[in-house]
Amino acid sequence: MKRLAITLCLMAAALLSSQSYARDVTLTTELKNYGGDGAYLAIYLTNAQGQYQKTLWVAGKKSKYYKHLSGWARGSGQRKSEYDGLSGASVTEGKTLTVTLDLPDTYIDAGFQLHVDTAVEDMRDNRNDVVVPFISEGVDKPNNGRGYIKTFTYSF
Amino acid sequence: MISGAALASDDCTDPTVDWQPKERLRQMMVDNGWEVKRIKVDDGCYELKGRDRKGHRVEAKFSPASLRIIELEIKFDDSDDASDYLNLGNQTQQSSTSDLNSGSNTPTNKPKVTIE
Repeated sequence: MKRLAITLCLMAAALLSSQSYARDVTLTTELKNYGGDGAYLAIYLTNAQGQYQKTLWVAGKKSKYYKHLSGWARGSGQRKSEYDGLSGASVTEGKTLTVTLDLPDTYIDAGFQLHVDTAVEDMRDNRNDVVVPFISEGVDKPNNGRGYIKTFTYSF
Repeated sequence: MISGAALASDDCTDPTVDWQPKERLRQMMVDNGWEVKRIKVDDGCYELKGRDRKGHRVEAKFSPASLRIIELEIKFDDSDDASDYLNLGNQTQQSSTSDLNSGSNTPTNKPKVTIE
């Protein structure tokens, strides 16, 4: 009986340790006053080799423009299943887009990178407007973009 | 961003045989006091860019068969007068919050989104 109890405890411990947890992650993207129409943005995760893993949000409703978010478009194949329920309105200049979603802990401190591609009608496309490692140390630290993004910050 | 071939569903579905010429739309809006800079076809609609009679930048979509307006976007600066369209004085614009998502989604993991 004692042996059975110990075995059960060990099994429970093994189950607990293998269980993955999720947490609320907030992604805050503030745009510059770039002097153009609403911006399309794709926020997504890649692994350390830069290979696409997961779409977090796509701002901009017309899928015909998604090809201009070129890094994300190539990685995701623009498949609707990749962004179903993860897309919304484009973002006007000077505005701040805040997205809060559940993400498994396994993406944090594990070599993954957050990318943001941006595009604006009749203006240039910015693949990797922002690229930052997704790490605990990066929480609440604003990152400057090189295109239409003024700052990109994440927290969890 | 350069406009590409239509992949999304079209906003206008008028049969091409029923379309009226762009020039008629141009004249209609010039008669209304607008300055027409460009008319192109987008998502099956006529999309017009120009300025309204008070000089505001406008972008409007029209059904190509009836030339009925179906979408209008006007840019106002701080000092601009919006009385042609609305009588809201200087009310501050409400920030759009939540529920920007469209379409189906798994409700358990639906992101919360705001644009402010």
